[in-house]
Amino acid sequence: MHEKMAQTFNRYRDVLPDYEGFLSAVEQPLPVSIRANTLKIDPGPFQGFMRERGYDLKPVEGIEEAFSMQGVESPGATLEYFLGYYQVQGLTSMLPAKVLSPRPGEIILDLCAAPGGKTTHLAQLMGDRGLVVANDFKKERTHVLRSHIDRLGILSVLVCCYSGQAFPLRRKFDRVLLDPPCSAEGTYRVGLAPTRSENPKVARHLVRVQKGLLQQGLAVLRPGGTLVYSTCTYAPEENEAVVNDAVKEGEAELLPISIPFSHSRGLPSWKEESYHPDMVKTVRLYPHQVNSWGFFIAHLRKRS
Amino acid sequence: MPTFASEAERREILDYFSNRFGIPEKAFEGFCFLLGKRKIWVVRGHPELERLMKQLKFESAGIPLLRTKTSMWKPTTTGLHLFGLHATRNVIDLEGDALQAFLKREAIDGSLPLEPGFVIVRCKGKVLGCGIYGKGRLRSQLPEKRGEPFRGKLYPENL
Repeated sequence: MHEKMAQTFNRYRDVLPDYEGFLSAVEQPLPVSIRANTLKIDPGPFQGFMRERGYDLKPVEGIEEAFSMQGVESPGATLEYFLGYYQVQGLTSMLPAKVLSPRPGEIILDLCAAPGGKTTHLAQLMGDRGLVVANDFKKERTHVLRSHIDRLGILSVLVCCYSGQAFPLRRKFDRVLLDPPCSAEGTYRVGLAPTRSENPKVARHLVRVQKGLLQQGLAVLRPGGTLVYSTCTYAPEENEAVVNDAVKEGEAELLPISIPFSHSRGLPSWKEESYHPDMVKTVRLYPHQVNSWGFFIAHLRKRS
Repeated sequence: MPTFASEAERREILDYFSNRFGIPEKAFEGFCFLLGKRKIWVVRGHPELERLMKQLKFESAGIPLLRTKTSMWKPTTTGLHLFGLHATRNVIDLEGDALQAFLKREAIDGSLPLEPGFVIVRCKGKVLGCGIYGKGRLRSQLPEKRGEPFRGKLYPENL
């Protein structure tokens, strides 16, 4: 076991189911998964087309547009990628947009949108009919976001560059996706960079930012509208604790989530802190349950 | 941020695609055009679009459709990927060595059934992107950076 990884994850030993299985899973390399761009081609013909082109794709049960791609060193360097037939995206990264479940015609806000995997998925799920406002604080990051929008040929996304915590309140949205900056522990696997959570100063800063973003995300949501909060970290301070603040004050309620993969429920408590009883409606995904990034997802509805 | 095209400006854009490429007006139904300093954008129409664009400041909306920096409008690769499939004029299918040369951004010499100016290049009916034709030479206009990774390791005969 990589010593650094064992140190990082040791504090989750008592709350993480099958901890040894988890440690074993994070030692494995991450498989490549892709999302067919159903705005250009349906999943069935896409698989056939890619097979003709010599690519070995396997469908992912539970996500019609998802495939695992084997034997390709650089999935972002193919002609089919250039033509916008697919997006390279982690399996669990596809779930927040699926959980938010946007409908055609709605106006959606993706508050921390870059690099754009979830933004473009939202537009795709709406059949490119509606409007998706894709915001990211860092202008240079929106260049990557825009390149994906262009390549995938998505016409319903508008890109803006506000500080998420100060996003203008003059427009209310039907749904909000909030995937804030996080310590990214869920992406910590063999060969990949260590997380930012070991630096307490950074960790505290992240939590402050996440709470501010969630507050603003709820503020720009219309009453009765829904918000998905997701991170790729295991840290309860950045997950349940952030969501708990919004739920305990009564501003929002937690909704149940249906996930097509094996997963765990959100934690009812962490260290000395107990969370709202509904926190078990949130979802934790670990790499020994689904071979992808680790993820946390909460689905909230703003009270009327 | 770009401004909404007026009726006259919309007509000019529709006429350009119709006259140059034979793309019918119908292909653009339900979409709005926005005019920037150097580009024309195309975005999905929505009853709230105009109000939303007044409420927030946007960096971009939809995708760039045309570059208008010079007097000769140039269609974007991404715009052609979406709307070029409706083209009936100034469109050419390439195969074999010519296709490889196009993808590598090399010039293709020969008399082709095209009018001088920007043209749409396809392979087996799939739009690859834009070329420019003149004086018996077709030059690729594929974006240099975006196409770089796959250049030289293609098997387009299977496309």
